[in-house]
Amino acid sequence: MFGWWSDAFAWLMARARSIQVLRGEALSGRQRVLRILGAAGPAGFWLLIFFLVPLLLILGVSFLSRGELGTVETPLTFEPYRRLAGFGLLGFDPLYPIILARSVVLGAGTALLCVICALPMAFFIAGLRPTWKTAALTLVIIPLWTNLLIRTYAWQLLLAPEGFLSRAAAALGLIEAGAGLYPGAAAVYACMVCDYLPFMVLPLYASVEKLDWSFAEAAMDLGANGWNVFRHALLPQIKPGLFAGCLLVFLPATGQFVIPDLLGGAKTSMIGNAIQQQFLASGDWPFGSAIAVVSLGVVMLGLWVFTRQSREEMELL
Amino acid sequence: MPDVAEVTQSDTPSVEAPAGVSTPAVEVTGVSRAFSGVRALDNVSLTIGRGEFFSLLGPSGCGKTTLLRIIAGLDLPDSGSVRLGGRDVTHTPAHRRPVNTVFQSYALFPHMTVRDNVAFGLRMKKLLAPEIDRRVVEGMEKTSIIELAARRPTQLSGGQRQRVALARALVNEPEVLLLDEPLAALDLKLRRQLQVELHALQRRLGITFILVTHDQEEALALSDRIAVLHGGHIEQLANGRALYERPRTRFVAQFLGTCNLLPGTVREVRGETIVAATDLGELAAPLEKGRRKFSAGEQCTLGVRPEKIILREAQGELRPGEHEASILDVVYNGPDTDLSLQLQSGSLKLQVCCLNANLRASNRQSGQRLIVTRMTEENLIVLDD
Repeated sequence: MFGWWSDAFAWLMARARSIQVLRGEALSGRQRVLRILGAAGPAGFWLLIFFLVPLLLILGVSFLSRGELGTVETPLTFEPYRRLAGFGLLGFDPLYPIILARSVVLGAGTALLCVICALPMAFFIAGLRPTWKTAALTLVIIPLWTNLLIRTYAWQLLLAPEGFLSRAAAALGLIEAGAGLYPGAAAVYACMVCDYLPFMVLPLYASVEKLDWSFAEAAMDLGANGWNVFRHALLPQIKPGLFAGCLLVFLPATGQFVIPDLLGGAKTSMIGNAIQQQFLASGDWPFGSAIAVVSLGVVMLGLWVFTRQSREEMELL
Repeated sequence: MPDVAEVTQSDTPSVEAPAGVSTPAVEVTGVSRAFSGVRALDNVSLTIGRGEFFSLLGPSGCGKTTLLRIIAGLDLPDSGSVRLGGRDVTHTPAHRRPVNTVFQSYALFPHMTVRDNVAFGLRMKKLLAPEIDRRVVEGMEKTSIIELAARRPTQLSGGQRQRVALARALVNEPEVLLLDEPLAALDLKLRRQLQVELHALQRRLGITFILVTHDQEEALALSDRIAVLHGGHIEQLANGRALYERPRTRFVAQFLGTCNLLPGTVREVRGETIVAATDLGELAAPLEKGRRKFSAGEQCTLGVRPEKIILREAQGELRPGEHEASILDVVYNGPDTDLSLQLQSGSLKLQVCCLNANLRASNRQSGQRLIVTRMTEENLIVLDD
């Protein structure tokens, strides 16, 4: 039995060595293609099935029309896009561009607030002793183990008129007595930041952890005050983490609709609500698809501009 | 706790800070610093004159970099004070001190071009753009990096980075320039070349330079005065020649170059001369004023530099004070040869360095016999410990 094992092991080792030997050599085109497929194939296949095909389906559906009973039917049309731009059945009404803008503002606002909260946290955690560091990082991650809805309902209770936060705010004269902090924009942002903060803290922490402080000392030595030391010596170093964190927060926060719905008082519609409504309530798949395609396009465009600006600096680091 | 005056006075007259200056550039008084219980600096005091090229020399961990960082304001002393140009800056943050540092790693900002790196200090001072441009160009010309202006630090060689770091510090026209092992990362030839440039630059600018180094040759070649640090305190502060010719302690004698130690017993002390019985017989050695007192019968150590021992061929009679020795080991260095000698009488071994002045001198073989001639008084050193 062990003989069989050792034979197999020897064969594996021999193969490993032959790959090693081949690595430096010139490969034929066919060999190269086979090798790349072998290495990247499974991941590529996964992307194809679960990402590219659904995306193309959505794109295709967005150019079709809605059938009587919510089915998707042929004549190919630009109608969903026309409606999306505001030229609906009842004349011009830029409802959907406004919803999209509102969602982008929510995403960007959440990302900004997360940056403001996460920066001091990342520096604080990076400065802790190793054992405390692990504990602090665990504490940052723990909220993610709770269901999103439960966290949102918890905020409802916390910010309700009879909750102590509302009473405290009323006592300080920030809000009318008897009124609640919820529903409202403040409640939405509080919950959004609470939910997405870990996605900002973790990549930022990773950058702060490996900061080279000699640049900070050099800047200080050359006469830079606290803010300038941060801006010129530290910020360029943590930019990759900041960039990753902003992506991780902005993208899902833009599509978020449960929190604005539950804490914003269901008065405002977000892009997520709009898509969900078209697919489920109205049964208008082409229109829902069009909203999805356009919002994806807008976000991608924004990201492209963002990346292009930071690329030069990213390359240096 | 010795005060500043005492430290400078106790040096030989030739090693005092340049005279004719009202306030010294740097005064460090009783500075101590400990890192998690380990003393990095222990009650260090020194005074550095304006326009002086001063070196802090010592092995790694002797506290020299800590002292430099305290002067720069990048670290705070646990006790003691730092004055720059007569002004107490002990609690002044680094960015408000009139000093600039060339860091060992250079710490050039990787996301900025050479020009922006050099301009950084002036921008922080909020000078007007034309003024900044003028001084940046001037600074880059002085350090001959003007053609590198548009490059990034990653596109520079070690020597070029070193020059950029120097220019970045010098454009701010600091009262004191601090250099933390600025040449340590460079290869020998480039290091020697940049040493010459650094020395010329300091003479031309007249700025006070404080150089931290563990390279004794570098310190000797560049400095007006050198403080040898050991275990967080100043072992000896003097000019290079005095340190090499008249080291006070075993540590200084052996850290700067090589030194043969001759343990002995004091026979008598006559004014500025001490006579001791050693393995090489009775030897007289000079003991300057202000040195610690020795009394007859006390154990002492004399030192003698390898190149100050004169050898002659083993021919003829032994004259008084001469000793026969055989060669144990030969290291040929080109211009000179290092010999390990074993004395015939006793167990003493000597390191001798002799100039390869002729073919016979350059062709020593181990086992060969030679005669160590009489040691002259001026070539012997009395060590405190």
